[in-house]
Amino acid sequence: MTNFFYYGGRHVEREILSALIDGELSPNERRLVHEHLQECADCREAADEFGHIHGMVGDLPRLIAPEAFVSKALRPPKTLSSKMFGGKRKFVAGGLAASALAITVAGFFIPQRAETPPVSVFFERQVSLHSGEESGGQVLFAVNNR
Amino acid sequence: MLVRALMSTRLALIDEPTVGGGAVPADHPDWADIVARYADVVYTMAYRLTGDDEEARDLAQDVLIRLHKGLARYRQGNFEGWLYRTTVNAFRDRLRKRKRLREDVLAEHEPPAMRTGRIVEEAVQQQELFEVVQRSLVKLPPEYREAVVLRDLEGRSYEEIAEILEIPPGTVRSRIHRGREALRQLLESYVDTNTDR
Repeated sequence: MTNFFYYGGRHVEREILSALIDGELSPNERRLVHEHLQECADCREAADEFGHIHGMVGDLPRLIAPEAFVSKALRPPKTLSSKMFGGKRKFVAGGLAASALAITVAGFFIPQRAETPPVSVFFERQVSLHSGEESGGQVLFAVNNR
Repeated sequence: MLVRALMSTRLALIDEPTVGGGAVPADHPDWADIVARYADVVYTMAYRLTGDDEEARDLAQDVLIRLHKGLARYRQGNFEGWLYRTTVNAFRDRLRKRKRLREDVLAEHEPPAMRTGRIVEEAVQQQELFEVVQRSLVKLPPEYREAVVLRDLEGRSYEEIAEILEIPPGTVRSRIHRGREALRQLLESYVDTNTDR
């Protein structure tokens, strides 16, 4: 029961008076305070003030939650969950779309696999001047394309 | 159709006591039952903490999503404590995200809009008074606001609040006291000190 009185025991600590209003003092504390209040107008006034503040806040009415809010809350849990994870889903979907686009665009810049054969062979053809038929030829040189 | 059926369940349950008097959900509570029982509680607390309908809806929605997500892990116990803790945590996360750091209310000392020209409480309509109190509440530092709302509005004991906020009971008492001191200054014109209790 520290700091019970202040001003040399002339008044009760205001925090104690606040707790008195809430019924949060021990029986012994309550008895001491009530004895003091019988004699001290200042402390009585302070206790009254706290009591009035307590009453003013306590008198604030219980509000009725808006119907739209209640309806929304009553939707199947899946809806609540989707709201809860909606942002993540959008994020994942967006990420997939971005990835697909990136792959597509990158495809234009990646060098195509060479369709030319690995080796180019250059040869000399022998064609008959009379008949125009090809009668053979010989390899002149080959180039490794890789 | 499903929503309509569940709404009728809600209407049937709305008159039943909720927090403090309602039955604690079973080991595997039904989601519709939870919404029916606690939507108003969560929304009210969200509104009292934020002071704004749109923010309250967002916060309450966030709380319900967290509750739903954690439902599979829930085992019968202090459901309401879990609900309050979830609400406070969601509220704090929103504050952190928005970088709304704590402000010194007393230094700011901006009087409520209704204060000018009004001296006697009886002259103020009840609804106006609610609005003044709500505006003052939102001006409290978040940690004081949480404690005052849990105590004065939700009627939780210091021990319960200590468990919800994960702080010692002595700190709860201190925060509630400081919150009330700040409210006393903000609501100075409305606090009738002549009332004998």
